[in-house]
Amino acid sequence: MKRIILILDFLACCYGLAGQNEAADVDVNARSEEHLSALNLADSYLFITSSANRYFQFSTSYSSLQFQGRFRDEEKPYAMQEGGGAIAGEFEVDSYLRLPTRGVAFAGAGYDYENKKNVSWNSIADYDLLYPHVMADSVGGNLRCEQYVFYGGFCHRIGRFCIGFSGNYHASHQYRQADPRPRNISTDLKYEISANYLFHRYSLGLSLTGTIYKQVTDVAFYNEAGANTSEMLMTGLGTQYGRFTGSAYTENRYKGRNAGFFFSAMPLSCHGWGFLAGYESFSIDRSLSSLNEVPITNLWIQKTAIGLSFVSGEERIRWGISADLLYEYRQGTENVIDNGLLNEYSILGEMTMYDSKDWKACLRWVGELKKNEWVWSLSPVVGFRNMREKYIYPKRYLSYSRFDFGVSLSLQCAMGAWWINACCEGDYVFTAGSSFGIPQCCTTAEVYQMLNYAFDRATENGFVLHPALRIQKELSRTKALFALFKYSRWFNEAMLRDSGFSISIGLCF
Amino acid sequence: MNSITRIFILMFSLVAAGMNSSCEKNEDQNIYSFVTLKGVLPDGRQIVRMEANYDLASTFMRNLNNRLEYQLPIFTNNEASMVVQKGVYLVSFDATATFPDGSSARVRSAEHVAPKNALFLMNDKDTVTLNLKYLNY
Repeated sequence: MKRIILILDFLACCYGLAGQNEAADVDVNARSEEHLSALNLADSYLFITSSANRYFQFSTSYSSLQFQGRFRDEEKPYAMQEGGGAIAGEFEVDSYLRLPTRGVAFAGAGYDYENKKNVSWNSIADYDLLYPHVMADSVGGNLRCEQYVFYGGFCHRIGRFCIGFSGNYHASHQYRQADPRPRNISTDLKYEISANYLFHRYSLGLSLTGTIYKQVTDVAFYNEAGANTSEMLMTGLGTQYGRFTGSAYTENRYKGRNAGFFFSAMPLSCHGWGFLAGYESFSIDRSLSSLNEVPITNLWIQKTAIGLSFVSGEERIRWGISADLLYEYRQGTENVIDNGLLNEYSILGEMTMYDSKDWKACLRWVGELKKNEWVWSLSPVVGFRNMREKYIYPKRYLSYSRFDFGVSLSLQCAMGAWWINACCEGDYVFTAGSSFGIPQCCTTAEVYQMLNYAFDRATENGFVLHPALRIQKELSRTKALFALFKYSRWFNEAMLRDSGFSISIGLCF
Repeated sequence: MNSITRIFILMFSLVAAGMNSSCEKNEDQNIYSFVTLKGVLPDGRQIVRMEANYDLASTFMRNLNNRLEYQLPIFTNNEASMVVQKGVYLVSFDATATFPDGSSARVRSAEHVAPKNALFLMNDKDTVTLNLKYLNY
């Protein structure tokens, strides 16, 4: 009940602020066209990490709230850690407001409830963040997840300077009501401050970011006959911290801190060059609550990102091109714990045993043609990914390189009070090379089978299709009702039936 | 190509070239320890050759933390050497010791079988004295 009241209060604030929208002379369908334009894909990376840059993102205010239902079904799970299917419901509010006093405010909130089917080899939340230092078992089961997110920020222009700050709070709760019963509570607080200097036709900016992350996880067994599986404290590529594997040490805590900086350059008008370069460092410790919080592992994630884009300035035919490169370097360090005499578990030393290097590159071109009430856009994209993981002793390695070629075609049409946006994206993904070096001699059969399966699915070739349709009708000049339908289908060599769809209904103003 | 374009492309190229130089933790670490094992009998008798009996489940050299096990080497003149990953170890074995006069005896090392008496092998080089007991002497 409290959650509903909180979200309705926020909704009322958004609705009230929308009433003060200084761009009320631009109707809501035209504002939707600007905020949902395919051309935004070319330079969206500039606004994710800097709230000061958001001053130049859009010329009009725009807010939306939506209810969404999602369904996913995989004949064989693509990632066992995410389950073979899910049903979810979500409520989301998002708002971007241009204020009369040379400022921009943006905020949002959301609640998501999801029931994942047959999740296995993952007893924690935020698997993608904490991999490979996860707790896992082979039995698994259905997993229920609730998530809340609140974010907001503000930026303000003072002469040649633009300053901004933002915060984002995310909390999640996961649980299962059959043995093994994980219960995970994670919280994630992100904050950012940024400042830009306006120089000639460009804005040069610097932003500093930080994150505080915590997760408490526990796996219980209620069956009177005892635990039906062991919980493994994984350390990378099938290895485990064997001493604490079992059913006695399932209370884990994760604590992490992240710091980063981003440098950006972007045009003051909506066309020109854009550039972003940044670095983030995230360190996460895993400790055992039942042994005086002794930290057993540390995960250090370093990310470097660079992006370059150009958006043309013509009115009728606009185009943009962007290139981005992301590099993630992950290192897993294991602490050597002493013999635990007198229940004091001292750390004798540490060894960095695992590392992974993940390169992702993407080149995209977006073209938009306006003709009367029709807007056509075409966006071909080429992507490349190289992933390499290794564990020092016993030696294990895994690597693959993948290319993806995609094209997205969309059509927008404004007809009176109606606004329709239809798009279809297709991507073909293939593996150019791969290697799998996991020794069977010192790996249990079930772990080896899991790694082999995950590798096969991560390197399979296939084609994915994403059609989407948005239908929007103005209720008044400032408010519109919309419905959004999305579908995705993965076609692979084994012709497995992997698909998903979502339906959203909402209000934009 | 105008100067602004050249500047942006140059910035992108320079940063892209430097992207692979992330910091590495424990860059110069040595995770292995060269261990010399010395077997000592109560009477100080010289052992020409001693080989652990792996038919028994009680023969092992096991890392307490990651549970990795190592094959004990053959002792020659009371000594044997091996390379193990640094860590805390439990050692237990029954072995057949052969003496200079050709006789042999079954011996046991059980001093480090329990965690409270575990071996801490955390240096690049370590020497461990194993106090052996006769089983059938």
